[in-house]
Amino acid sequence: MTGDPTPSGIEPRADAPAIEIIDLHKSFGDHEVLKGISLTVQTGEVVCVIGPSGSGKSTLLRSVNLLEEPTSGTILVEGVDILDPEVDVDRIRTRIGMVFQQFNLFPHMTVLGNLCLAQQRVLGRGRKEAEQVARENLAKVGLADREGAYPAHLSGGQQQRVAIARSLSMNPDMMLFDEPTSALDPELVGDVLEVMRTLANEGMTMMVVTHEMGFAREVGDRLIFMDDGLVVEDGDPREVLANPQEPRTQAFLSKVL
Amino acid sequence: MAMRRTTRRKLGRVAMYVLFVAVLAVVVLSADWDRFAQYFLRWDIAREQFPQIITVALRNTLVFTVVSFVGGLVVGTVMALMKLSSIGPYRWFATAYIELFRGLPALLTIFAFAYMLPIAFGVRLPFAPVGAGLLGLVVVAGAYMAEVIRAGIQAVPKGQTEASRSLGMSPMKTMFFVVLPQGLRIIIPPLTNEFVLLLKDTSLLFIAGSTIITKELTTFARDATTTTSNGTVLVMAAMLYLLVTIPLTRVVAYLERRMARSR
Repeated sequence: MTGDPTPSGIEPRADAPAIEIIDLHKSFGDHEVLKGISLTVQTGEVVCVIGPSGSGKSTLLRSVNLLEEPTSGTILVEGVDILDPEVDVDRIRTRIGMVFQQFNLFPHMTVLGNLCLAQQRVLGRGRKEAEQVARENLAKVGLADREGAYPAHLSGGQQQRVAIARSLSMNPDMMLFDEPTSALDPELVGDVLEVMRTLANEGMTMMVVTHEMGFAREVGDRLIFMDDGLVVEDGDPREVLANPQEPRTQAFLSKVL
Repeated sequence: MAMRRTTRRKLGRVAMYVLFVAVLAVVVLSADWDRFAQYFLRWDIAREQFPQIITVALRNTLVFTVVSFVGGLVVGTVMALMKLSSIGPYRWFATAYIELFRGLPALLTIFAFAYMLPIAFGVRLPFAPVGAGLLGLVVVAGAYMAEVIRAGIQAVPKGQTEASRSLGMSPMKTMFFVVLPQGLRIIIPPLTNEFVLLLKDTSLLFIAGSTIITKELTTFARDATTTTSNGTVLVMAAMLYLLVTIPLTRVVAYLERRMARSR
């Protein structure tokens, strides 16, 4: 990318952690959803976030690319304070891929169109280059033969894999997954998790809100358990799942495992 | 009385048909059809209207409809976006605009644009006098379409905006490449309906006055009625309106059925 010269201090730094969250608070009206979250995601790390519904894990994830505006606190993405009004949020977002529970593919475009839109309109890539990148990523998620299809003609699992390919086509430095398999029929979950596992093995920095304990155990470098707007436990997934230290973690895991 | 329910229902239906046919027969038989035909169905007068009733009147009606529809679509989209804006004054202006021009009779708005505007600003719009009246019709169409378009935009799921913004697309790009294309698709049936309403409302342009070459169907028919002292041309105009509107309403019905199926 050959961007305009930007003021100093808002350029990403290679030596900074991918994501650094410091004392993050978020309220919806009177209801405080995040009550002071601090955590760091190192480059290349796969961090899974689990917790009961309403614990604030989706809000936390959505704060990282500012789909939710935090009430207070600091979020550094590659060393850039994204809450600084000087920072161009759209530019930050091109470096952060986001995958939603409901896929959110653009229904009026083909698969290829979905993958090319932002490449052309945001990164300024030409059509040929965008399509080439798109095809590489479609092949990666195992859907090279569906580039001409419309989202409505794909299964949920295929749609989610297209959504992942769409994010990857922006060449992001990190990916956020917001319960990526929760809206899928059980038999379609495996394909999506397989794609995510491949990404993790390639060294992609990932933050994954999920209910898939198996994925968290096998692929995750770290597991964070959240409850009531706070990080309750944060550690090695195998450790946390086998030997939860906090009573709240124990209670939650006994229900889902 | 041991009459079965189905039998009673059948008898009731027969009675309804008989009554309907009787009323129809009374109306048809009591009318003086010869006199009616003399005033409204004169073939010799009808033949004299060709080809102008098609090449001038119907053509102008269609051109005015398309112009006001396209103009209304542009104005309506701008107003819808302003109404959904986070900037207060934009919202207030759009609300005032929509309330004003939906609250006034279209005839008055056209009159205002045709006569008040040129006097106030000392300008003559192109294609006077009909051009100014047409501008009034665009303004009215824009007010009605603004609400339809706003509803269409709001019907697009929020996740679409979130996905687009997450890819780094600006609010403007998101609106034009992601939200509007989907919103406009949703409102094709009500917009087609709006087109039919506009087609009929072009008849109100007579208030703006016209020259020989800018007459639309209703003006043409009114003037012809005066010159021939006969209502035949009014009947012809009515039939020409229906010739366009009935197929269009069928199209709307078809689109609505197709939309319902694709959900």
